[in-house]
Amino acid sequence: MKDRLKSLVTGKPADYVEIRIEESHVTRIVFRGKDLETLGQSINYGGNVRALVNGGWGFVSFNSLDDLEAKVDLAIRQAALIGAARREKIALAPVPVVEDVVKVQFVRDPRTVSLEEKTNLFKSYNDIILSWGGKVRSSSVSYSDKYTKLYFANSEGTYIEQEKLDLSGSIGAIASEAGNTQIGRVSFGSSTDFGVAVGHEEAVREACRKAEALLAAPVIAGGEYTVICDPHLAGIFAHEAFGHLSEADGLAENKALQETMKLGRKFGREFLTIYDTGRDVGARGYLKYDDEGVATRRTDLIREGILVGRLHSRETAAKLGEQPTGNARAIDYRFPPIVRMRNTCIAPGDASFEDMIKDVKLGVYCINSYGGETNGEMFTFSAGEAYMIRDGKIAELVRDVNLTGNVFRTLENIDMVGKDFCPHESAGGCGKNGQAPLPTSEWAPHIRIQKVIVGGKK
Amino acid sequence: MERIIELATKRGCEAAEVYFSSVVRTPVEYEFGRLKQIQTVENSVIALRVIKDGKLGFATSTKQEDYETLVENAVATAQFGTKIEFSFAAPAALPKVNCYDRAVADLTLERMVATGNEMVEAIRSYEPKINAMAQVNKAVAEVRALTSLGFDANCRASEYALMAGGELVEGDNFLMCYDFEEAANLTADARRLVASVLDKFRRARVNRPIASGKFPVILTPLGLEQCLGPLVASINGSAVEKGFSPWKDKIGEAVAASDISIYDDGTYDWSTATAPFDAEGTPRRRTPIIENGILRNFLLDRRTAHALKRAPTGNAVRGGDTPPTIAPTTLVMAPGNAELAAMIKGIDEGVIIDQLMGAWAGNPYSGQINGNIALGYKIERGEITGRVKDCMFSINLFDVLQRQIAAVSAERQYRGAVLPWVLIDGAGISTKS
Repeated sequence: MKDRLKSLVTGKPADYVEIRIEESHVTRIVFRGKDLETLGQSINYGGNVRALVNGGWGFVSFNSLDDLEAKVDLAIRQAALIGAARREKIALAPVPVVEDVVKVQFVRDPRTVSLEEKTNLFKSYNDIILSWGGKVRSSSVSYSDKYTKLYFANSEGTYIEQEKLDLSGSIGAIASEAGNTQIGRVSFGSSTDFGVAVGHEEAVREACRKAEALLAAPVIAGGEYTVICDPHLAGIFAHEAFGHLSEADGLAENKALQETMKLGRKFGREFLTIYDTGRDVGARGYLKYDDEGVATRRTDLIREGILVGRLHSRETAAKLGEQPTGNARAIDYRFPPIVRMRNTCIAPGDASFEDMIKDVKLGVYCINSYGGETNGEMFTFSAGEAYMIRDGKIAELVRDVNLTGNVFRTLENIDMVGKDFCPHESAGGCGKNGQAPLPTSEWAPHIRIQKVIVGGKK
Repeated sequence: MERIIELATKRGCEAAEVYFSSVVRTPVEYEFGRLKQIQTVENSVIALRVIKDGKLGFATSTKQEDYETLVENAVATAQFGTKIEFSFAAPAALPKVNCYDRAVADLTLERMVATGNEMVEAIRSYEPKINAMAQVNKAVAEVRALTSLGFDANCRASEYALMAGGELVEGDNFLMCYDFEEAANLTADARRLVASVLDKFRRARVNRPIASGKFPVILTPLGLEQCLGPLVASINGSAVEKGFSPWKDKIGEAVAASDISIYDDGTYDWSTATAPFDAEGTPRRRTPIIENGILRNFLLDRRTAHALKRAPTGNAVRGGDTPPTIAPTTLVMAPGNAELAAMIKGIDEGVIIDQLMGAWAGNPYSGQINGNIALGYKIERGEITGRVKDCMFSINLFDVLQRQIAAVSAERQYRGAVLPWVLIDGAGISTKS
């Protein structure tokens, strides 16, 4: 493979050429109610070529490895068609030429676990839910593992063989009564270990209790609240509130945004540090090399309240005169790499949960997440479970809690960061430009935010 | 492909279903006012479902030559699969539909580049500070479905899509506006699309204040589409069969006001979701969902149709390497008799919502929608006066359908679904105090 790929990208009439070949094996299990709705195995085999000519990118993806020469030529032709019309060239930030073979540091390799064992494990969770009785009437249990082998070569001489694993699952208990349906959930994920799928029995029982309790919970009253986020939701907050805005592809040619996002601008208080890293082995966002063959690192975005960095591809790093960070990622061979997050974290502070809650007269304690969305300036993040806080104490359960903020105000409204940093992994993933779900992680401690707008009944 | 069915039969399967799809997409992408990237994306996948000892197995592969592994993988999963009672498709009469236009396949890259240039130039000449974005996309797909029961059909589909928009950053104020048009033929029109985008920029250039409270809100077709999650989740046959759908026992009952009718039309002329048959070989058709407020049907694949003792509605879809699931094709809402301009004129203080963020998040079966108003306009004394932002919009879609729709426009727009502008009374807006 090595010689074939290297010779395909060497000596071509282009400023830069890269080729990627990928084979992945996926196992997927879905129970809904009593039925095993999906038990499937998929093989995805294919590749792509990306070429840069005078500032234009050409990209060709394929399933058949026949006639790769023609695919390389097509990518170059497409790039040249753009390049001919552009005045300036695109430079790529220099990175070391690498030859490496990367193996997954398996704790327990899901490929060594039989289909029967996997199916029985998830059936056992499903059985807990279905035998719960009461108002719990159905279930939704899903699991998938994907093992990928990637071969990457570029015209600068880099050649990398990289193994990847992405494994995740979600277990939902569904309660219903008189047209009202509520869900309690458990989820997990890993890039090294099938073991994270095991041992959720008690959590599943808790999800059943939660789903039943939600049936009786009122919809939250809309308004502005002091909000305490648990580590999982705080992680989603970091991802939506600041992670996406830090992706430099939105910024590289946008002079006005560069002005707004000048390094050194104060965004938060001195105890707020947000970073993104590819180096946490076991996290779904773990990545040794990105999809441009760049070694990943920890990149601080906000350090002690001040904007200090952003996430780059080689192209955006060159445009802004900054260092590449290893954030160019593609969900698979069908897509070109774009700037994406890996594991986005809020560094621990020194507050305890007791410190956070004791002086909150009226607020909301939000746990877990249904995800969120951003347009750069404004963002939403949705709680999986929420309780009112009244006079410094956790009070009644409420439902349908979706929160929103504005990056230029909400970050400075974070007035406490907990010391309980939690490496939480969950199912799902991030979506951008039609590429979803990309495995990412979000680790954080509890945080407290003042003046968060919460949607709800008026 | 017949060979896969033969192999499966030899391995002792009682029945087999092969679904082959091959798509070539050519996206031409503009970023920051300039042509940035041209792609050719080919993707072919073979999916196989088998029934062995009464149990269902499933596998997919993008390796065109290795049929043996595909069959072995499917058979392996069938050992632990669910006992199933439904059957794969048998030969049936398929509707004649418009879903392929040779002119799309013949469209040249040069023509696509020229169309893209025209769009970004038009946006830049309105306001050079806007970072103009555009996409010109064509796709041609070939599909073949084949079962051991004798179903064997193929179809070709095309798609031509334009997207235009841009971002205007002024200090800490970001304004992002976009629109798209798509169809199976060359209907998408660059000029009309750019005019729509520039309208959005003009209306949203100044920010207007709003206080928390209850307001009349007009949802544009794009805005309405983002609020239909609870409806789409509740009519899904799988949610009905498994008992999660709050509408599971409501066929024949009123779930909406008597002037509301919504159809799922798998045969809608030139829609990008139209095809003669679905992902299981069931003929596509037009299915009434809500007629004059009464719930008429759910969207069903073969399995849920069998379980619910109803006919499948041709709503099975596939995404790459997953087995068929249920999804709407083209949702069509009947027009009302209000005029959009008159709807706006009649509002003393209210909001028009075109784009929401995060409205999809949460539990769809509760009906509750809470979304940040990413693009919305303030109406004051019958006039659009500017943009509202930093607000959360909240409704319960089930309540809205029953009693909060004050008017439905006669005008409709196709953006994947065919929807009118809808005026909602008493929608919740939450914002900073």
